[in-house]
Parts: sequence; C-alpha cells; structure tokens
Amino acid sequence: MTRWYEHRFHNPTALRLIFVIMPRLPRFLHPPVAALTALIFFFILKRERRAVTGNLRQVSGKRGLALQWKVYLVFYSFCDLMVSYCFVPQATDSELLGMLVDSDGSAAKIDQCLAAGNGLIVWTAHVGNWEFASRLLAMYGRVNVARVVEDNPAEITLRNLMAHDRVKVVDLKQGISATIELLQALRRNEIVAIQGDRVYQRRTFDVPFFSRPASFPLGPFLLSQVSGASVLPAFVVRRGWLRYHALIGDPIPAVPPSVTRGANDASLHEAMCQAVRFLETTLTIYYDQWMNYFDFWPVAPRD
Amino acid sequence: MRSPRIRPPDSLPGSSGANFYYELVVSYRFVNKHMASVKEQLKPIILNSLRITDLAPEDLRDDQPLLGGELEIDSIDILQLVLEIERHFGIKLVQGNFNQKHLQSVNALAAIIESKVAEAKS
Repeated sequence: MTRWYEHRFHNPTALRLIFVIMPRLPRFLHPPVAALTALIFFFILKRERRAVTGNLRQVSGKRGLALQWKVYLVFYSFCDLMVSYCFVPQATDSELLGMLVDSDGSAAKIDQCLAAGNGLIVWTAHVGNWEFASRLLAMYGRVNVARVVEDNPAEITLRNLMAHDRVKVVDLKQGISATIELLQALRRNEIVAIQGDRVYQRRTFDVPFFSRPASFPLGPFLLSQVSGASVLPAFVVRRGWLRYHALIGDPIPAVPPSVTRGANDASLHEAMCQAVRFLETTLTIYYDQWMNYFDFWPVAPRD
Repeated sequence: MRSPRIRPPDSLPGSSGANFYYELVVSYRFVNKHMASVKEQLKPIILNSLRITDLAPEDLRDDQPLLGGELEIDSIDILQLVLEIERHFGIKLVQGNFNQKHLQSVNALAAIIESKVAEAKS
C-alpha cells in the first residue's frame, strides 16, 4: 500500500532544467533562486500545500501566517534537496564531509553497531536530505536502500544519477525476494537503510505521534529481530544551503524473540515507539524539513 | 511412499555394483526418515508463525505451495517464519545460497533446512 503521490512537475524536463542551470550559477545565487522557485511551487501545488499545512499544524501547533511560513520553508527545503542532486552524486568522500557541519560522535555509534557483526538497520525518514545520508553511510560499507522503486522517467533519472558502487537499491515491490535480500545483506554485516515514515506494506503498528496515532511499518523492527541488527534512527537535516548535520539517535537493540506472541508484539511496539520518539524530537525543531506532501494522519472523509 | 526392502549385506553378491546399490538404498531410507521428521516439525511452525488457526499440521501437504497459494505468505510473514525456523532448528536459514526457490513448497523448505542442519552439525 502506498499513501503518497507525486506532483506533475516531477518529470525529466524539470530535472534537466535544474541540472543545467544550477551548477552554472554562482553559489551565492542559489538561495535566492531557490526562494523564488519555492514560492512559485508553494502557490501552484495547492493540494500538496494543503497536506503539508495539515501535517505541520499537527506537529507545531502553529496557525495562520506563522504556519504558512513554515509550509513555504518545506518547499524551500525541497529545492535544496533537488539542487543537491547536482553536487552529491559525483562528490568525493572528503567533499561530502565538507558539506557536513557540527559533526559529532555519530561515526562512533555506527561503528559500534557494525562491530557486533549483525549488520545495521538505519531508520530514517523524509527529513532533510536522505540521499546525502545514504552517501554518508556508504563510507562505512555497502548500503542497501530499501524503498519502492518507481518506474517513471523522473525517478529513473534520479536513480541513475545517485547510482554508486556501495549503494544498492532494493525494491520493496519485489516482496519476499526483497526481504530475503535485505536479510542476507545484514548477515554480511552490511547496512540497510529504510525510510520509516512511509507505509510500504500492510503490516503496521499504530504509535502515538504528536498526540495522534499514526501508522508506521513493522518491517524494519522484524528484520532487526530476525537478523539481530540494531535499529539506528538517523536523519540528515539542512543547516544552511547545501550544508547538513547528521542527527543520530541511540541504537535500539534487536528485540529478542519471545515465546508468547503478545509479549513479542509488545516488545516490537516499544522498539518502534523509541524510533518514532526520536523522529518526533527531530521534527519538533526541523518540522519545516519534513517532506511528506500527503496527509500523514488520516483525514476524515467529507460528507 | 513405500520404502524399498533392503537385503542384508551378506546376502548381496560381492560385486561393487551391488554394494553401491545397498548403500544407496540405506542412505535413501535414512534421508527419507529424517526428512519426514523435519517436515513434521516444520508444519506446525508454518501454521504458528503465519497465525493460521483454521488448519491442522496434517492438513498441509508436503507439496503445499508456500508462495502464491492458499497460504498467501507475504514479505512480513516470511520474516516471522524464518525467525521461528531458525530458533527451532538452531540454524541460520537465510544465508549463503538461500533463495526464493527454497520457499516453493513444504518439501523444498524442509530440504534446505535439512541441509543447513547437516551443515551446522559438520
């Protein structure tokens, strides 16, 4: 099941415009161009704007102009993400590290998790720049990005652009064979990266999220239980134009299998709650970088 | 399937071909018996991990398809099934040469479990 959609400007022509124009502009012109572009899309994409407004209202409690300003910033953050495709794919490791600010002890946490030999599940979300995050993770070894691979031309263009010898995309539409591939990757002590804020399959748990229940996929936590890999909640947020900061939570150890099903489900639910709480903490500050252009919480149908 | 009758070794002619035949039959009977035991253990595990309550282990055929059939196993079910199998048999099932073909039927799954158990013992 998918519960998001794409806007009509997500096409190869729009991408080509970005990839031709932006690298040729001096860097100081990027933010004003992005500000103008974000403003145009803020007005054109009404349905998306409405959805983001609803989501951010729930997250921030803001109303009126203050809320609309934050909604506008979501569109601005999206411009940063799109322009980063011009620079991140061909960047060397040192160039990527140069785009990081306030680097803290995140490397130690990743090393510590991988030292156990069971692989690592990085639980991330559509916050900041997840493509940049996957390239950062690739510095630690092979990364298996679990996602639904869309076959529209724009997605193919972006996928080809981000292709990297240490980043493998595993298409969740493949079902069981994707699950097997991810489990085998973890058993080779590799990294699996999953965006936990979108539901790709029917098995979910409802978890309190900004005071309302929201569905999150169970898959990453079951995968952790079977493989013994820890789940590491992690996001890369924007801290200026094409400048990023890695936010890494505490590793969530694999839930030990329990003989009783109820106890097992309760432990998995608690593990998921820990990850969701870290997302909540992150969004409390960086909610204007949460790029989900659909109603995250179910909206009651109108009569 | 009925097991073939085995002649005692001293009644066999001394030719190497006959000895080979005898060893083959003994191996076949051993494997067949052991496989049956794996299958007997496997069937309740399948039902339990898939939370199927309206079927008994004996309702599952040996050639019962696990994928795309009545059981409708999905990508999450498979994790629960692997978890239970690995815990029960003390093996790492999904590793190395394991692939989706090994989930085609109860027979196929039992065969790979059998080989992983033997691998673990050796």
